[in-house]
Amino acid sequence: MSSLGERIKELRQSMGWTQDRLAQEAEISKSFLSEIENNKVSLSGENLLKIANVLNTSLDYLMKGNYVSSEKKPSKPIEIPRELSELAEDLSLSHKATLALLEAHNSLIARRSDKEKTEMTKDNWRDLFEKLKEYLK
Amino acid sequence: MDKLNNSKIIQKIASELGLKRYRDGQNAIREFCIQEVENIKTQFGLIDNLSKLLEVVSSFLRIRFEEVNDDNDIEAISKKYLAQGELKFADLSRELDASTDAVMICLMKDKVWRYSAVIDCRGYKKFRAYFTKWHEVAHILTRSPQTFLFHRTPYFKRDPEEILVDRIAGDLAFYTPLFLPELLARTKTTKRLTFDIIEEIREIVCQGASREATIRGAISRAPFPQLMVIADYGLKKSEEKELSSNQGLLFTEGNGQFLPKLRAVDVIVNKPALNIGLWIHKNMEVPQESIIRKAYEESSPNEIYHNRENLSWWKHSRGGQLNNICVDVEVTKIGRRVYAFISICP
Repeated sequence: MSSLGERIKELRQSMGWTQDRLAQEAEISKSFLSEIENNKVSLSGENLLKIANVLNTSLDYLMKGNYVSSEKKPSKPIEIPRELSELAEDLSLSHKATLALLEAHNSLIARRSDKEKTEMTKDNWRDLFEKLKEYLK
Repeated sequence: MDKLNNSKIIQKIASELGLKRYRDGQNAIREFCIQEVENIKTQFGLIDNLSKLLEVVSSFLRIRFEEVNDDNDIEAISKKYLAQGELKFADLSRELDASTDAVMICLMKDKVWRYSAVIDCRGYKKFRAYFTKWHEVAHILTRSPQTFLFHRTPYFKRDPEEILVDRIAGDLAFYTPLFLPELLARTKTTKRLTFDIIEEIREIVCQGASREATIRGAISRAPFPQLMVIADYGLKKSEEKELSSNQGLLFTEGNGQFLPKLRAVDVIVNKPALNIGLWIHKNMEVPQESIIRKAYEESSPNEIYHNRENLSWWKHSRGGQLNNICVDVEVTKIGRRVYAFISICP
């Protein structure tokens, strides 16, 4: 696994930034950044946060180097709701497209609202499909 | 016992998090979340204010916040995520409707960020944004891998899970180790809260929080008796019920029997106040002689008035009065409502 310094360097280069640019954006000196990238100094939380913010990355990734795990793709049998199944049949949707619709819908994991949840109707699935169809090709 | 502890979903969340105290699930989960934040804080190092705590905790949990300040932002956010293959964002404008404060979307393609929390900051909702962000953080803190297996999407603010998450957000938005020292330092001599003290605390430790949220956080943590009444014109509960029935509508036609009166439409109180009987019932009518009434009728917004009063001025509609306690009242008008700090006289 890469070191903190290597991850910072890799992210910086993937954005096409020079050390000068990152040092300027994160409000640290270029020599200090160079030491960070070469793992010669330890980094305070404050500076780590500045670097994470300008590189648009999370502290968790920067510190641990782990990519998002497979937890969001649990190995549970997939149940396609009846209303979605019916729509898939009506529109002759492929299994892949049907699953993509379901996955898109299920990726909403919380919603803070004044109104109660309503179950997805066939029409709601159709609306979602209409919005997504160009991305499902 | 708090009704929330009897909720099956709360017990399930406690069990999913591996907490043994399922009979006191609510407190076990709240303590678990505080401990998680403490762990993150320890890993990070010095954090001196609550906005930074929010930034650090959310970044550790891989939550990316997106703020919607106008309708164009929704389009821009949707476009950005759709380009990354996050399909749910095609439906963002429908999901983030007028009744919704925020949505949390699990990112399917991103390797670095796990969630995107889209916070509606349009209009009055911007005052709730700080709390809403903590609410979204609390959702993630209470989720375990099992939650992902057995997909469950809480929606409604009155769902037990949402109430629990709100309470956790209240714990974290005014995280005691950062908030309490400032509160104690500012009230060392006064032994009561004032609007100036609330502004000072906000300025130093929780700039992102609204005034009302800070008041709630300060009252619940204050070691001295403190009460706040929010006053506005309204009906008694029984009148509201009758009005909402056909019988009530017929009954009131022509005689205007149910006239709204200036009432304590919301009451915020802490344990030390309850212990000494410093308490005003919700919906009680504001006494004629109280400064609260004067502030409502005569003051300009944000002007502050003081008065020494007696709690016994507050009368029940069916007779009787509150305890004979000398109180200091500090009031100010915010919008159309009057906010009144009520404290024991020194």
